[in-house]
Amino acid sequence: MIFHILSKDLRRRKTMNAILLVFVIIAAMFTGSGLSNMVSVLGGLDRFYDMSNTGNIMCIFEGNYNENEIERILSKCSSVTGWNKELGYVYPESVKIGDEVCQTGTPLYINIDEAGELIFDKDNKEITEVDEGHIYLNKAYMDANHISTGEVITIDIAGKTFDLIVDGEMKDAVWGDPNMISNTRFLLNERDFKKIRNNKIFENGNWKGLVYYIACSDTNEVDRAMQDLDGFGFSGDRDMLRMIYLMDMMTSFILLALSGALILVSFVILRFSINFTLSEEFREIGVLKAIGLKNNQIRRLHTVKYAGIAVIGAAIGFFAGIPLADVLLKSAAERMVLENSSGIMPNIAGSIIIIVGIVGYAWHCTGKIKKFTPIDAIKFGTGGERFSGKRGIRIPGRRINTAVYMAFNDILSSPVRYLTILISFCLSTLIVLVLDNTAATLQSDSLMDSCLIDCDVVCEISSEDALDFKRRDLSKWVEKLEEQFNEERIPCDVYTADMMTLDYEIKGDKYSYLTVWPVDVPYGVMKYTEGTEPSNPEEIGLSSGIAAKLDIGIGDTIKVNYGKGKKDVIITGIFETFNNLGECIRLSEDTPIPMGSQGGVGLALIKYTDHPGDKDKENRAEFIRKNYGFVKVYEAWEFCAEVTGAAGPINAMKYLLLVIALIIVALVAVLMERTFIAAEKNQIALLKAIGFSDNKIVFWHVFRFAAVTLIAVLIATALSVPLTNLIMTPVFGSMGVTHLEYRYNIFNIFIFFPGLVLGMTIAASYMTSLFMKTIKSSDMANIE
Amino acid sequence: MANEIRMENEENVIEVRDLCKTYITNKRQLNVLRNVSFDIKAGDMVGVMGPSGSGKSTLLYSVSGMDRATAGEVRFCGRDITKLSDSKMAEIRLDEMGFIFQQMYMLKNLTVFDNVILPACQSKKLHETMKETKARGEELMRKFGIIETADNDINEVSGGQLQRACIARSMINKPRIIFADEPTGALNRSSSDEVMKELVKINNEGATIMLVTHDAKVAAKCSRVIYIVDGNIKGEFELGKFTEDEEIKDRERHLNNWLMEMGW
Repeated sequence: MIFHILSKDLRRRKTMNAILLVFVIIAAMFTGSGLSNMVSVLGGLDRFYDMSNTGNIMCIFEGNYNENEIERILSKCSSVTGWNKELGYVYPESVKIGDEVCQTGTPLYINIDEAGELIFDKDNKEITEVDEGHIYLNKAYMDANHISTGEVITIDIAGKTFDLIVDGEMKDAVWGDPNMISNTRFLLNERDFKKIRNNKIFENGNWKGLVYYIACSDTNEVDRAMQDLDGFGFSGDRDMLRMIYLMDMMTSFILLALSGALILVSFVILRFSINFTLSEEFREIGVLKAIGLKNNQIRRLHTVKYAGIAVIGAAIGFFAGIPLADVLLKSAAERMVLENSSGIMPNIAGSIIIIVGIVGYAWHCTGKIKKFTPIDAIKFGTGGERFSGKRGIRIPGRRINTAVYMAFNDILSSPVRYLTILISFCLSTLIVLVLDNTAATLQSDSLMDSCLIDCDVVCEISSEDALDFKRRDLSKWVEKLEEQFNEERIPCDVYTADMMTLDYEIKGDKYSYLTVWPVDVPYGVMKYTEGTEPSNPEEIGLSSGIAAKLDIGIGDTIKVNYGKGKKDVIITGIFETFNNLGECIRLSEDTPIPMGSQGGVGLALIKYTDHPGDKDKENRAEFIRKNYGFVKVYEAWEFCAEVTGAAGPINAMKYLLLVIALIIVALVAVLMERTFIAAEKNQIALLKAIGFSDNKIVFWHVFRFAAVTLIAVLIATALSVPLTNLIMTPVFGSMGVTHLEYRYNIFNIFIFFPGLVLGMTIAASYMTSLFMKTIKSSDMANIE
Repeated sequence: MANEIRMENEENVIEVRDLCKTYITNKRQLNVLRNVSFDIKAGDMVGVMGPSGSGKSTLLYSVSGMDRATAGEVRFCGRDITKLSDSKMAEIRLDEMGFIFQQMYMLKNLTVFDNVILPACQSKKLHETMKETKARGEELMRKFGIIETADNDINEVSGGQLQRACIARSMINKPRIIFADEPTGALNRSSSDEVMKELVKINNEGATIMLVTHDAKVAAKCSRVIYIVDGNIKGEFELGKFTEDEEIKDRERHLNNWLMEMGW
């Protein structure tokens, strides 16, 4: 009996069943591979750190540190179980390809024989030796500077040069991304390392760094202990270092969000499909009840089909999801040593979720059967009569296009039916719009605006220049720059800052933090999310990262050492920063820092005072690039995009999701239109009989889709703004920025993407509606 | 009302010549209509009778242009409509023809009134305002005694009322001819009588009607009856115009006698 009914249904509703099956397959595929990717990346990251001997916290000491003292303190820490260390030399802009200096990432030269953290090649094998004259670089550095394996690079440190052949890519757990952590390790043979170490510029401890990878059970204890030591520069535990792989994690989250949306669309289609089937089989259900079948028996009859579709779809999705998960893992594994440690379990879990979800929801939807009585079926179950629905709209008092009227009337008469299209298309559009808004924000100056200073151009100062600047010189240099720009008819303000590492005492513990000392930055220009900017040497501004980590805030007093002993300062403002993994402190401009304590100047920021247009800004940036001796000149948005490095991957994912969204839209449009044609065969025949042309009827059907899609994309556009905020704020928050002003590409979110969805809907529904040409007016004779 | 129906006395509204309709099913050729020829004059009410499967409905659909004839000619007001494109034919059906079907089929999301005036909204023939169209729709519904159902959904009215609404819809564009396929086939006797009364009335007011039926009582109200068997016209019977004061039983008796001769 069941098989007879099923086989009849499968024959009668081929398209509807096939499209539902496609959705189940896609949903199972993405759920399985999304879960697999998430388990592999999140779980695999810890494994990668373990394999690399990264320990639980990494500490960097610079300049005049005391190695014996560091290790003595480490030995005293009760939670420390062991450590590895490595000596490295840092020298910015010391790598050239031909005459071109590699700008992204500052090299940290390491001897392979003394490497504290293990390094792996692209096949996940540990690199234990490097030939003389050869070098290994990490992939992100190679990509950022366009270096290929086998290429020759020139190391140029203070005039001493030698060439190295790039042997290949290496996977480096802590130093894997120059966009997130500015230093990048260069793995050298001992002899080549000595060539660097023997350079006179490194005498007196300059540019020398000692890195400790410490295994411990309490990172806070180690962090506190290390902060007190001479030369302490930076510490980062695994939670902080994990941010280096934020993009890989973001990919997993986006995939899971896509899976969720696909499951939702599948449910919406399932509901439509069940409701449609029940309305068509109203009479049969009544007859089944009349002959004595119970509600649950009839519900089982209908649910069995969807269970079958769910099982078949989930099985196909499971197998299709395995290679997809491998492809995704491969892309994440370019920088990490990752293996699919969980096997096919996540894919199996994804498929089970889909099956249980669909069968459960199908059973829920068939609950409507309980409301039918045999009498209802016999009384109302004839063709042409309304199964259920609301009253539509009356023909208006003035002449309008009848197809347009009928379209609106249908939508208002059966709003639930059209809600299926609305929800599916709205979700499909939203996914793309949220990613577009994220990419637009990352490709704008918003990060700069929210975290630092509202400026137009960012100029990178060469490291040698940066070293030479002294406080008084720097101020004069800024004034001179402003004068020069004004003479070139570029009215602007120039801001810069000196950056150094200072020692602080907070709640009795000692810490060292990167500290920013502004130069020629008027009060109020720097951005703060809470409180006010420090206005005198007794005040200080703190990054939200430090405030949260140490549980301190505005009004609290901490001690700082400006070089002349400790001094109490009060916290007046909290700011956000995407620099230095969210940890930074700002001083007031008139803070008395002794000469020689300065660290160096990295950037000069330019704010035009005459509010030029985008084209003028571009031309001016080009002019500055050509005529001033900066290492690099970025427009503010270019700088933000470069620093995060995330806009490119998000854009790539956006276009992938756009393709998926358009496929969903096309499938839903085809499914619905085929269903409508089947359900409205009699109406179509009648309209043809009374003189409506084929084109008019096609227009009626397509217009219904166009109208609902237009509403769907408008809702999606409106929702994309708060939803981007809701979804992306935690992601940016993990980078240290929670008060980000999102930017929107108006053309994309109002015209381009909605236009594509609308265009695809019209095309798909139009092509499908041509099928109604097979219905003839003479079919009126066959109406039952 | 009479002035709403075009009076074209002595003029042939329909001229059918050697009309053939053949279906190919399972590689078998089925000749449903074989060289059928007849005329319908303006103001005629022609009944088409015949046994089941004789080709009555096919004839009506072929003559009205709803179905393409395999061969032969159908002239509508002197114009051969068998060669017209689908869209041109749709225009003619909309503006110049009215249709009534056995199943009182209407668009389910529209009220009875909106269903009645829908063809007029689509047509540009009468160049009238929407207000005028609605006024005519109301007038027609009032005439057929269903004005109180105007705002009802179609599942809220009886079969007889619905069929009378279908007659009103068929007349909304002031057509030259109304085609009715078993208009009383799905109705009980009393509803059937009501519907036929309206059809006779509009015929007497000048409407030309071609009506397919298997009911001799219905056919007896036609001015002429064509009897069709196996796709051929076997005979025609002239009854003359039926008037309300005329005794139907005499017409029925004469018709039944003739039908028996035909082999009914």
